[in-house]
Amino acid sequence: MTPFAALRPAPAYAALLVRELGAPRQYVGPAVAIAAGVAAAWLATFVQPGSGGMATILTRFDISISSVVALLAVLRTIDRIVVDAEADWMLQHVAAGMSRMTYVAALVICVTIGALMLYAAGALAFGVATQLLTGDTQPLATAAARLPLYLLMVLGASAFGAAIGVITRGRSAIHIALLLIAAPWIGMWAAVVLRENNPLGGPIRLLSYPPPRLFSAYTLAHVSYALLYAGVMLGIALSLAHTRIGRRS
Amino acid sequence: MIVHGEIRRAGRVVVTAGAVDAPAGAVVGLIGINGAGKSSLMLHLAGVLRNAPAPAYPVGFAPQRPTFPAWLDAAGISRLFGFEFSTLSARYPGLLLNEIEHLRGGVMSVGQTQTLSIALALALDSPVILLDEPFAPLDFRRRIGLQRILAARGPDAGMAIVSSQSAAEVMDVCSWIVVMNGGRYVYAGPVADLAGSGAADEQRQRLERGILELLTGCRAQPASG
Repeated sequence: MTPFAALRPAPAYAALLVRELGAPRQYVGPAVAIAAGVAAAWLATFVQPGSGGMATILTRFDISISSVVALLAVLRTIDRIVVDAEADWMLQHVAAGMSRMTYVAALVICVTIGALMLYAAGALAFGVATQLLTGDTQPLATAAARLPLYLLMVLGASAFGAAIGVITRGRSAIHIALLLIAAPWIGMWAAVVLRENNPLGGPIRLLSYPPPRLFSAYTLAHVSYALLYAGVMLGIALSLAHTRIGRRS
Repeated sequence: MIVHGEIRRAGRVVVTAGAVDAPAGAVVGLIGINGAGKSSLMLHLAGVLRNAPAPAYPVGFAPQRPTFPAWLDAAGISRLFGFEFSTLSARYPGLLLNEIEHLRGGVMSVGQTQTLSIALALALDSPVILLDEPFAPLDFRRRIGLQRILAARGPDAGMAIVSSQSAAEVMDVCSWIVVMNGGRYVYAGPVADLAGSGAADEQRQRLERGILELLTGCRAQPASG
């Protein structure tokens, strides 16, 4: 098959994007995210008035929120692969000589865009609402500046989901993915417990994230790591696609 | 129709090794009782069964109970397979595809889904077309349409393998018949050899008797391989 032939179904794969974003129920997520962003901005005016307070809230919580969005992207990618891999249309599609790799790549891109839109809706709604309520422009500027970083984060998550989806079979893929995600945290907290019980004592420093600044050395290191991680995971997913996609057991 | 070694599903041997030859352009009827291994053989020949070798060419394959993505309409599904729906519809008017153009996969009936699946398999013009029990869910109009499409295939059209539970369907559309039982080929030859000559009803009855005798082991004729 020529590269051009592999791209023949590309317009229909764009419908995958429509499925992620365009179906009526898919608007529920972004709508809730926007409502949550506006509500958070409104509540923040009571909790800690002033521009410094807003920026602090955004900085502290956006990493956690984007991590949840990335986790949803992992689960979404795995769920689609589990459903589509042995579907009759996929069997017919693959037997007809269509590319499994095109499917995997399209799925990763579509889930990434869908998840990023979800995050962006909430973050930008928070920023805009804050600006309207208090005149503080920093949260909006920060959210806008960080979107490229979160794009990489969600892309890595989708690629991770695709890799796990093609390596393992069925619903066990979700359990394995969650275990792999949780394992470092379990290990870290185990280490903390050990340190707390250390008779020698000493200060405990957990997740001392410095406030990220775009183009700082810290940010660039994370971008490089995210790119490398996403690339490796996507490579694994694409190279193993033939073992799971369009195969019936 | 060559199977090297065994085809296993869930650890169980469902088809054993064998080879059947049929003339170019033949429409081959694959017939056998439930669980004889017809669908597994189809999946194997299409190269989509786990551990099945990849075919050297694209295969037009219509599964037994096809499903399509619920969010795509028939036109979108056609594009997914690299075809324009208008071309598909014009090429196979007997399948009445224009009736389902704007239906999404999630709301198509079983027969409508099967119709689209068959059209996509035929349109590929591949050396091998595999249709797994294509007639069962079709309404009488589309059934006649598909019979005419298969009957009109020339010797250059490659081989079409049509699995079925019905001797009448095989007699109507197939020039060659392969009988499977217990995962083995037990007969392969021209339909006329089993059906004989005479009135259509008599031919059908002879064909049914012949198949029954083969399946009960009273008159097994070895296939090559």
